[in-house]
Amino acid sequence: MSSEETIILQSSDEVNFTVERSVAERSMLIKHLLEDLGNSGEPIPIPNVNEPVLNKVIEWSVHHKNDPPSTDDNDSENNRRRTTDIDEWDQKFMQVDQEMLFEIILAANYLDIKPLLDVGCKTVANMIKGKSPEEIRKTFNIQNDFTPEEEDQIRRENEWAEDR
Amino acid sequence: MPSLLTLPLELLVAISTYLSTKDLGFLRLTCKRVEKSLYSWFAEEFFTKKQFMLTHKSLQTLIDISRHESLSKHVTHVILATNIYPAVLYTFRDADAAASWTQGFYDQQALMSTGYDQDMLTEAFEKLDNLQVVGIRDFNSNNRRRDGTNASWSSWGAPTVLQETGIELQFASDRFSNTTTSFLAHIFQTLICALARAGRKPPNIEVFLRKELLPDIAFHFPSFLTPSVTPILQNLETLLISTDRIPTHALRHGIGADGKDGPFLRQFLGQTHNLRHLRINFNKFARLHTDSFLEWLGQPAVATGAAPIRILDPPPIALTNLEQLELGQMTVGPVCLLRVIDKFASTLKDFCLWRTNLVNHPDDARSAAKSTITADFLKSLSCMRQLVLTHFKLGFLQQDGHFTNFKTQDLKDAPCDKTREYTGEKMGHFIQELINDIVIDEPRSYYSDHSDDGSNDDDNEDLEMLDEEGGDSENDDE
Repeated sequence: MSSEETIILQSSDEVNFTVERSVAERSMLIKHLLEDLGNSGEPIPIPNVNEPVLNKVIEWSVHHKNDPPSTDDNDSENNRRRTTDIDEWDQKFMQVDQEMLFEIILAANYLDIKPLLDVGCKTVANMIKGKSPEEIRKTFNIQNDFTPEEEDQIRRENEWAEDR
Repeated sequence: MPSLLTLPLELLVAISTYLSTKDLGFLRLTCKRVEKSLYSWFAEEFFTKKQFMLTHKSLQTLIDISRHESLSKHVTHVILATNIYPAVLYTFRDADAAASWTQGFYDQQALMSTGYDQDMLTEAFEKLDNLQVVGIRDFNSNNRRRDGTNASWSSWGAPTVLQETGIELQFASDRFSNTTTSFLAHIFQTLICALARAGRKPPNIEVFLRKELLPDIAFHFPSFLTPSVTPILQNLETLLISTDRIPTHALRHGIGADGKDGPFLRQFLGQTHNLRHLRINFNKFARLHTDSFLEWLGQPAVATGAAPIRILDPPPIALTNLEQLELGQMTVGPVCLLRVIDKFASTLKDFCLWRTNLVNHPDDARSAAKSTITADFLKSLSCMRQLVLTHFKLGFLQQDGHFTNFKTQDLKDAPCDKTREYTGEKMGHFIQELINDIVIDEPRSYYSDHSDDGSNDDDNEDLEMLDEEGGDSENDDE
């Protein structure tokens, strides 16, 4: 392990993280960057991600560094069951405050780490599931700005969409 | 500070794909920003293709959607499913359920007998500016993934009937009713007449029936309807149907010997001059009908005006634009089939032969296992002058009742393909390989093919000969 090539990642607030190349390559953005430019040994700046968030993303990437590469063709996307099951470690990992949760999602999106993005989106979906509109508003601090007529209209559209 | 409301649109959409329809509906109700962001996805997924049935409630919803200024624009594909309240005695869980069912039964009868169903469809079609496809089917597409693996896209209103009565509306089938034939004819004619009255001419009509086939009389649009129906037929580019010879008893007694068996589909096709894609699934057990129809289809067209039009003996047709021909569920002689292909050879690019039993002339004494009927048929196909196919698909074939498969390796007992498909320029090579790979199965009962030939639920679409759900991406992908 010690002989493995390392990469230095630099957060937006200029904190350096030294990680194994396989960890860094969980990010497709960095993987392609390294393939194109090689590893100069210089820190790679990650301008959109600050230290605490990058720390979390690296924690996830270390745990998942040996996962088989995700098949990202459209087929598997379409055939994917719409399940929101999340494995236990990831669930624990995602037990963070809402701000951090959305920061992780944004970072995973920017760094192109599809499995982490999926876990993040599923976590948010699980926070929505089974709740009434009012409960969802409360959870995400949303103000209801509909008139009662608009609400009725959307309710009707929802009924047409439902299996009923 | 990032939040649900500040997420980029694609991430909000990604999150929403994990929600059930109900949860998604509640999320839409939280605030304008979320609702607006998700709107086009919502409209696309749930309203592009929509299935209804002949009940007042279901058709009223179709009308309501057609009146919706924006959602109505998304509707391109309307399906009428054959859900029916059968005249069968059920045991109900309580008096309310029984009353609800009984009322539903009589309401549906009245809806149809008064023609109010046609009025309602007409009203809806008038407002559906982007209607491209109308269809009839007797099953639900089962890939409503968002709502779990068992969820399906049922006809709107059907789950509510189940909920209120404890009884599931069935798709029309002879198991439940002896009026299925007239019910299916009613749906098809009502659909076409409603399109005519609404002035809509969608280029595609798709009838997928797995339980019972459309009777020939469904295609009868008498002369008093011709002026309004003809424009629809002339505009048709795709016609996918399952049909059967029909017991037209009155005709048998009343008409002379030259009355053709099943004349109305022929008449109907006589007006679909612009057809590019024709698919017909026949009845495998009605060989004489299939033969006589294909014989007619294969005859050279008669110049208009050359012969008097006889209603019960329509002249052969041209279909000069036909590019794609799919034939299935047949028991047929190869000569007859080749004649049809030959007739359309100059325009045909795409041919599919599905669940077909190629049968020898009775004089041929060779046993099915020794016969080269499939190989000979394929050879004739590859030698046919003018025929340049760029797509050829075949599957679940039989010769004289024995299954015809295609070996994948030159080994005994090697696994075999039941279907083969090729797209490209080297069709001759593909057909030669097919011929080399033919394996004729041990004799098996012909009537058990549905359970033995690898057809299972997953494969149901194959009955309809192509994965027609492919275009639906999110909705059905069906």
